[in-house]
Amino acid sequence: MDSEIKKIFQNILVNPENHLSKEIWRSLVARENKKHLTKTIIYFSTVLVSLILLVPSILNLIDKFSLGGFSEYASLIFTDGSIIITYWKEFIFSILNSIPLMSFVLCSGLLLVLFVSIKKIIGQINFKTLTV
Amino acid sequence: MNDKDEELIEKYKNGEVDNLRILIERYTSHIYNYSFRFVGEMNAPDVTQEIFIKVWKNLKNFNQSKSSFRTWIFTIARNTIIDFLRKKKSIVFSDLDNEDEIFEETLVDESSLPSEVIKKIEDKKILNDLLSNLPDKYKEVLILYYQEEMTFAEIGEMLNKPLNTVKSYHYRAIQKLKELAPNYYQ
Repeated sequence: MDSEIKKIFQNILVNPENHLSKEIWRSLVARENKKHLTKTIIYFSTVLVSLILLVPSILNLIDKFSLGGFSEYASLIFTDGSIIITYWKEFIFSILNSIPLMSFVLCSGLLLVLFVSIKKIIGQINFKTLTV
Repeated sequence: MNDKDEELIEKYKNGEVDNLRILIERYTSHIYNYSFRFVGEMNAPDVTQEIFIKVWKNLKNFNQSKSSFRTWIFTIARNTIIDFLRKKKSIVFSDLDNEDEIFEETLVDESSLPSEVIKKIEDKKILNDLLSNLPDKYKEVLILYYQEEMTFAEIGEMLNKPLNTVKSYHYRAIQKLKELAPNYYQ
């Protein structure tokens, strides 16, 4: 009984226009290309912006390092190792104190954004888009 | 070309993007026919296209351990059609939900059509007419069961309804066909 009704229902199947699946495919290709282009533009802009911001922040970081006396503390490692061994606690505290934390975090953040964006751009280049 | 749906999806996910085209070609007619019954000939191509766009957008989230691709794509189709009908303010699938809950446990699937009804529905025009006069949810079960050859369990999964509810929809759809068919003359 079921198979008989199934056969009857198959008779009323309607054929879609021949080009419907091609049209669907074309519309998907167009959407994906648009999405791909938008993403590439966004990642490229992020790389540019982070590069532009990175220059002054690195200069600022170098400036802050020299003002805080970091290089003087660091040079002690090579000149007078025995003082460092004797006063290691004070040395660590002073060298940490000389690091400009905010500038360091800012610089590292920008570097991270730059590398992630570059990775994403490479991913976009290697991405296999749909083709008509 | 003869790969299973799930294999095609796996390959697509692994970068062999052309497998999506095979899936689209495989399902266009099925989805078109399903849409056609609810949104009509005029809107069916656009709705079908919209369904495939949703499929493409969500394909990466498809989990074959949860459902088969066929059930998944028909669920997307159903939701898209409901959205479309809502926008058009047409009838929605679930207009008799409460009534069904009362009967779902008591009905068994003893549905069969007498030979004179079968003879009548062999006429394409009569069957099309009968289907268009059925409530959407009954029509839906008939289409999925007889045309798409889904099991009641698959239909239940797709409609998010218990097996007995689907069987009761089917039973009522058949009763309705029996009731309406004598009004048609060949």
